[in-house]
Amino acid sequence: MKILIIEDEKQLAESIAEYLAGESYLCELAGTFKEAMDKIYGYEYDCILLDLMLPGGNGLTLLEELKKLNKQDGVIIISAKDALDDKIKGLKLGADDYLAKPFHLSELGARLYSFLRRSKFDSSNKVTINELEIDLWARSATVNQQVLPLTKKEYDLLLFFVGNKDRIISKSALAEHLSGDMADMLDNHGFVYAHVKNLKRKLAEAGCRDFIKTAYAMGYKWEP
Amino acid sequence: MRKLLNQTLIYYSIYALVMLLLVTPFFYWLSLKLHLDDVNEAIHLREKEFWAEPKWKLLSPENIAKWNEFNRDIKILPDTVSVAKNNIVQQVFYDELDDEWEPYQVLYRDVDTQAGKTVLMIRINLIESEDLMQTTALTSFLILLLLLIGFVVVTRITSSTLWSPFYQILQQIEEFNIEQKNKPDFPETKTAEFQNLRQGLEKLISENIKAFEREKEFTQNASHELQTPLAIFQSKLDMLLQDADLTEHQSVILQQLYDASARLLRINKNLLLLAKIKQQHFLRKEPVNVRGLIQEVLPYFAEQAEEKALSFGVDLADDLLIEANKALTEVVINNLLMNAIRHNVQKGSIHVSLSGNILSVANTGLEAALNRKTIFQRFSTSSTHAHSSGLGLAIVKKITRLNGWRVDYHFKNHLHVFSISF
Repeated sequence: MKILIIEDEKQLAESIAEYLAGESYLCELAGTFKEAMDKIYGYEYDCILLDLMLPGGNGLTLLEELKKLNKQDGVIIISAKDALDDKIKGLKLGADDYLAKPFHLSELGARLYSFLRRSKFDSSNKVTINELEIDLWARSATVNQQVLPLTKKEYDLLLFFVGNKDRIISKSALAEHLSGDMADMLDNHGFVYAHVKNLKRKLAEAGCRDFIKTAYAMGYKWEP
Repeated sequence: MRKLLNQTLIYYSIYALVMLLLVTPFFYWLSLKLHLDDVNEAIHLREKEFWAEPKWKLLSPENIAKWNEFNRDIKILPDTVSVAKNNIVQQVFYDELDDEWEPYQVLYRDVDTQAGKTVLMIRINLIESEDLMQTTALTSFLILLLLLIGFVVVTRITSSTLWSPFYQILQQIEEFNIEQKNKPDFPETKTAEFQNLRQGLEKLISENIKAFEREKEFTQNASHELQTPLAIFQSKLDMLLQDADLTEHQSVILQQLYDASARLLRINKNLLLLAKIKQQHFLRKEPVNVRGLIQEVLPYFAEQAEEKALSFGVDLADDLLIEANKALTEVVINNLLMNAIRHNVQKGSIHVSLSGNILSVANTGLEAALNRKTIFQRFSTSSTHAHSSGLGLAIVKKITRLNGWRVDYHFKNHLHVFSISF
């Protein structure tokens, strides 16, 4: 799948590209407004990661341009301007998601994954990983046709893992993801451990293999 | 505290009273003296008239008796007078008509008549002068009273006209709030002092606003500028974590870097919030159910409290509806609850209660009261807690002040209690 990363900070853009490259994502970079414009006009992308503050122009203008061209590319805004107004404006203009900088790459991975599944797959919206099947629409998971009794947080966690296949996900990233609006208020990671433990137990009880591996002492890895 | 004009009035009144006490006796004394002079002059005049007619030398004792019968105030008496002669003296005489003793100015003088050695007595009644003097004293008292009333009236008038620019300026300064940028519009005035005051204040205020804006802008810019390197830093940590060859030691360091970066982010985010609280979208108000908000976030904090095995007591009696910005109200509640967990001890307790319009969060922690004066200041945390941003309470204070709520802290029964009256 083709992803366009419009981001003027080269270091950040490269990290994103490198992180996403492992999955079947093909990333292209655009560092300026003009570069981005050229790429948008010339090619089709499954998803565009769009920074709002660019040399030569505003990201929101690019978004407007994209909609005028009637392109179907998905757009996830990644912006340091953590202003509610920008977020509302962006989403109104047709952006599919908004991620405030700084973010964990695994968070971006998970968002991108769910966005692409939602938009590309048929109406059933199902993801199958060996014996595990996730219904994105119904927000439920089944193992061998048996529905897992997951809490909302456990389901979120599962999706987060699936979206970051074969990557090591730090507990910090999981803690922020699970805390939502409350992110980074407290950094005890104990509750992350508790949720992961419960998820693993429920998967195991349903007869699913243990895909969640502990990596070092500080993260997890989803290895189907 | 007394008002300026009333204070002036007090001085005026004291002055008037002193004048009244001093001047009235003086007036009385002066009019008395003038009157006596008049009377004495009249006596001398009569004496002169009497002397100018030398027929009195021929007066026989019978004539003298007749004379005395018809003259009340000029009499010829046998020489039995004991007081000094040729000098006017004051004496009291019995008045048969009024049946009372009355004061007189009297002059005695030797006159030799046919009746032998006799004395001429000329006298003038002073009873009328007493009335006169009373009137004089009363008049002076009245004048001073009128003066005093005049002072009050004039003061009132001055206060409503002359001093009105001053009071208007005063009121506008009291209403001035630097965070609301409502620069006061001082009234035009023709009084030089008020004009100076006005100009001085305008200069002071505009410089204050400028400094305030500069500080805010700086904080905002600095935070924004920091966000990009922070984003890069964090993404590089995420990449480093993917490295398959990390040793255990390196992974420990990596975790510490994650923690430090999380703390940096938190400080940065809170600084930005502090600078942005006055921005438009935070000024929008809506009805907010405080009880509902607390109930929404409690599960999250209850979960966070498990790590320290805290006992969580909740006592939310009634709904509390307020008119406020929802996001900021949430921030206040979150920051208080977060503090109660962060600064707590293992197996401690937290008690959240909402009764009437007062929300209070009590928690165990350090066994000593915190400094009430400094806890709400930026970066004043008494314990150098590794995860604290040092801004949580400063944000609470700022939001409560913005909304006119009151935040209070006290240490009681081993509990740190923060309360907010909405």
